Amino acid sequence: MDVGVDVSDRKRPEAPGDVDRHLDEMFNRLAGTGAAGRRALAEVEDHLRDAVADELTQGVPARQAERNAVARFGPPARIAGQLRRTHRVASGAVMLSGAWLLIGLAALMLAAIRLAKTLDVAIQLRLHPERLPRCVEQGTDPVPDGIAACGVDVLTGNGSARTGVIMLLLAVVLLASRWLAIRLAGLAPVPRRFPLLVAALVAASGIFLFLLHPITPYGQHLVGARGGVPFGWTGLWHQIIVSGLTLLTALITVGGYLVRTRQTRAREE
Amino acid sequence: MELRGHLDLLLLGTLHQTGPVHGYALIVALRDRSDGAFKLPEGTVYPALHRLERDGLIDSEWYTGKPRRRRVYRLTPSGAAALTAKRREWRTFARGVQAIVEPDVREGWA
Repeated sequence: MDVGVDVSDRKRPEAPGDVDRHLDEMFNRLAGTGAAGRRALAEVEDHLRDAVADELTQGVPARQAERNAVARFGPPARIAGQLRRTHRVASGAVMLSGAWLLIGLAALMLAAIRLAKTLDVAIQLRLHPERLPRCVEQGTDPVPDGIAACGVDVLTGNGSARTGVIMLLLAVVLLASRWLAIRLAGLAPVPRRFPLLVAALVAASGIFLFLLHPITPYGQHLVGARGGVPFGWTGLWHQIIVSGLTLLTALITVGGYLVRTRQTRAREE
Repeated sequence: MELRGHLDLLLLGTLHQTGPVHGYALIVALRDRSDGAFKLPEGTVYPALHRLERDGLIDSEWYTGKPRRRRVYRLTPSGAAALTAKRREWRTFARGVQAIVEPDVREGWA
């Protein structure tokens, strides 16, 4: 087959020098280490090329310069092993840091949902104050007037409000302790793409919250509808607000990630 | 001279003196400033740099220059604080060793 190349003119490939052989071995030994390994390999190549260039300026012959640079660098097995160990520990620390942040954010979101529900109930009670005495008299969960049942929760400090405050405190403790652990104990920050995971989870939870609640207003309340059983006595407007807020949070998170990525790229260029 | 246990201090100290610098230049600076006293495989510096970066004591980014782009390292505020603490530890350690190894030569170790 004619491939348009004069084979007789083709030079025999040059035998790889010591530096290339060293880099090949590092490449093999760093296989599977992902971005950290690629970065390390790039640094090793920079280092060896610089070292050879230094030797050449001192009049050392090329082959000898490569041999010296590789000898001073150290055996690939040892260096690659140390790099692997460093990044194995690092990936464990990053997972811990990510899980810590995720639990903190989940607690924050639960707090927001429970407090929003409390607010929902408080507003409904304000709109329908005539139902409150009936509920207090019954002292139980009056199914037809679910809102009033929640009103008892609000007034006695039980249920949503209490859970919301506890979750809020938990979130503050988790997020503040993680911030301190990063500042004082050198806990690894999360990977650059972590916000995308958070955004996906937050968006999914927003959709989940909206879809699992009945959209049709129930009974005589126009928008303060009785919610589905798993979520208690929340109204439709509450669902819309909570779902909207979670989706907005997801969009802001993705936007922040894109801006940060663009800034980092601009800085690197 | 064996460097085990002191590499972090030496790297932080050298970075403090040189300012932002890439790996090879850092190793050359370490070699030159110590008059070649330390014999270490140069490659072992990179795992140490990556570890210091993981611990937040230094940070790094790609810097596009000639003839090629390089990873440039710099000391973080946490790294500067760690360097101060490690210097203090080093002085205590050196004073103790000096007092035992050369008890008659204690001048200059105040």
